Amino acid sequence: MTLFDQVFQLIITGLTMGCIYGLIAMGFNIIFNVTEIINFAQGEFVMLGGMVIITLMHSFKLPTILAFFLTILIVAAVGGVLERFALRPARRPTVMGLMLIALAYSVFIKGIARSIWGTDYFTFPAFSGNEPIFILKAAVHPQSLWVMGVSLLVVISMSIFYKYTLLGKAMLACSVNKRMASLMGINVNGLIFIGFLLSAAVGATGGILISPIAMTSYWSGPMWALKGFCSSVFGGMGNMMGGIIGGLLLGMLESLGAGLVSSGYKDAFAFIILLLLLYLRPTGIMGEPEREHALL
Amino acid sequence: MENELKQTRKVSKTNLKGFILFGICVCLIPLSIKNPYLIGTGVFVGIHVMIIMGLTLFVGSAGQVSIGHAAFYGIGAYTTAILTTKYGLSPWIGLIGALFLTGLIAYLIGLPTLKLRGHYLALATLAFSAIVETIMVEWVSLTGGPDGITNIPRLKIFDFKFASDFSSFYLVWSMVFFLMWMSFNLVNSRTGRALKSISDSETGAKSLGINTSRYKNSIFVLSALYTALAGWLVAHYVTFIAPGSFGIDLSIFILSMVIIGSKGSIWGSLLGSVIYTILPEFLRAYGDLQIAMYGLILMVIMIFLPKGIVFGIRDLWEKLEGPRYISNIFLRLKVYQGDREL
Repeated sequence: MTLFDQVFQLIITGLTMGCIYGLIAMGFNIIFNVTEIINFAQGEFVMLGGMVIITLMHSFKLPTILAFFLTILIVAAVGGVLERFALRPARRPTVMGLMLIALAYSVFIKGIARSIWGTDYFTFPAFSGNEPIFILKAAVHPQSLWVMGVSLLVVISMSIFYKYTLLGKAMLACSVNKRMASLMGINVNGLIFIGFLLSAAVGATGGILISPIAMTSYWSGPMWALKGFCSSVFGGMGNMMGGIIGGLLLGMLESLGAGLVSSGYKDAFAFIILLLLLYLRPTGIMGEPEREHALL
Repeated sequence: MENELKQTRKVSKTNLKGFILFGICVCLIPLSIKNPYLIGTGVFVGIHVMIIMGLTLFVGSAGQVSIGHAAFYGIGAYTTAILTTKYGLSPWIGLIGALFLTGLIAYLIGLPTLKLRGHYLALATLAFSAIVETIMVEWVSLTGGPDGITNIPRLKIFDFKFASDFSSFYLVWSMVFFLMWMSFNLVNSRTGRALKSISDSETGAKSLGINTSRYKNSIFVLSALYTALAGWLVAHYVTFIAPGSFGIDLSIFILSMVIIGSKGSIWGSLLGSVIYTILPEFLRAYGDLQIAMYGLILMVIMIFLPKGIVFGIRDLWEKLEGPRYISNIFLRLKVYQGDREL
């Protein structure tokens, strides 16, 4: 196997993980754009996506397609509960306070997941078998193609949603200036609720797609949240395309680091490159110059 | 302006009285509780207070964000552990090594990193923490890898060994008192006011002639030193360390305890530490649901007191009728004026 083949193989692996990171980053950005908070519970949506579909398929014996959509509905409801029953009742909230509520909610979900599923790892069969497909001598897991295809579909449908529907345009307006948007007759609170539903649904899609490749346990949420947070900030907080590109880059960096440098140091390798790039471009790849006090 | 200055001095004086009272109360705790397990928990409360207080100075006073303080905690602990177990040096040389190395690393990392703002600063510190964690796991010959380092000697002054929970409690808390006293003085000093102005508006502070990057760097190094001291104590108290105790989840939880206590309040960091350390012990009775209950309680606190416990309770106190009468008297005496939000 030549170096080129090896690198190509690593890039395919990296892109698969990168798609998932990109989807999580997209979830972060959807919520960030309407509320300015970083929703730490995003990783829990991914974990729940994997867990719920496994339960539906194994215990309830539902067909894949039905389980897929039912899972997305259930996880979206979990996201809706976070907005309706935890974030909205907060009294005179600060951005940091809301982020903490989301963090506490993620701990809560993790605890519930632990008491339902225990501490074991779960997985379920890939959508179309485990027989690798060979592209340019690189062995590609069929699930990788599913991951890339469905991610692409999600990205395209989200951009159509933002560009051509009234609701999507309202959400864009909301991200530019919330107060102005509400003066134009846009129901900002309703949009925030929809933002949480959408973001949870996108996160759950990522979780469903990746669980045949990466095993899921009640503990995997924070890792996903961390990677997604890195991707979205790296790409420029609030920029949808930036988040996806950031995710793909992070995925490839990790995979190339693991394959060419050392598998143990793959995280360190990715983060060192990320730090250096951040020093060169202090507001991410596609981010706009940041206003003072975005976080506190 | 002059009145405001007087006001800050007033606050620091009242704090001193409460501080001494609080010190006496804490010293009485181990005498009234004989259970060594509970005293051990008290030691951990003290160690966590140091980290949270360090981060409070950085997050609260200077208005910056760091999700990387677990790394400094780890560097402090590992430095002293390696110096004492591999080279057989005294823990006190370990202390100097830990503080020196952590300070140096914090300074070097801070130079480029503290130019970033908001989320980007948070990400950079998080990346640093992840890099340090990986090194702890992977550099097996130096750090012992995932198994960590065992048989770290206990602290000793001349012939007295801090072997029991009882003596460790007093050692840790005397250091906590020293750091608290230092923090109060710092917050109420010229430096503290300069930091406050940075947290209000960095551009505004710059235009007033405050060297913002120098102040930010120094407070970053100082907060790293607080954390390293905690790391040094935990290494010699527990006598073994492993990378799992210095991960990113710790960084995130420390940061959330800073906010829950009340961002910028030294007393708040104490409360945050108590919640972080003692609450899980109480929730043990719930078994499997322990984590869920913990999350639920944090959520309820933040929903009802979004400014954190200390400021939240103060606001409630001021809202009530009885206390308002008292505060009216203070207002008439011109003890404090204008905006009461410190």
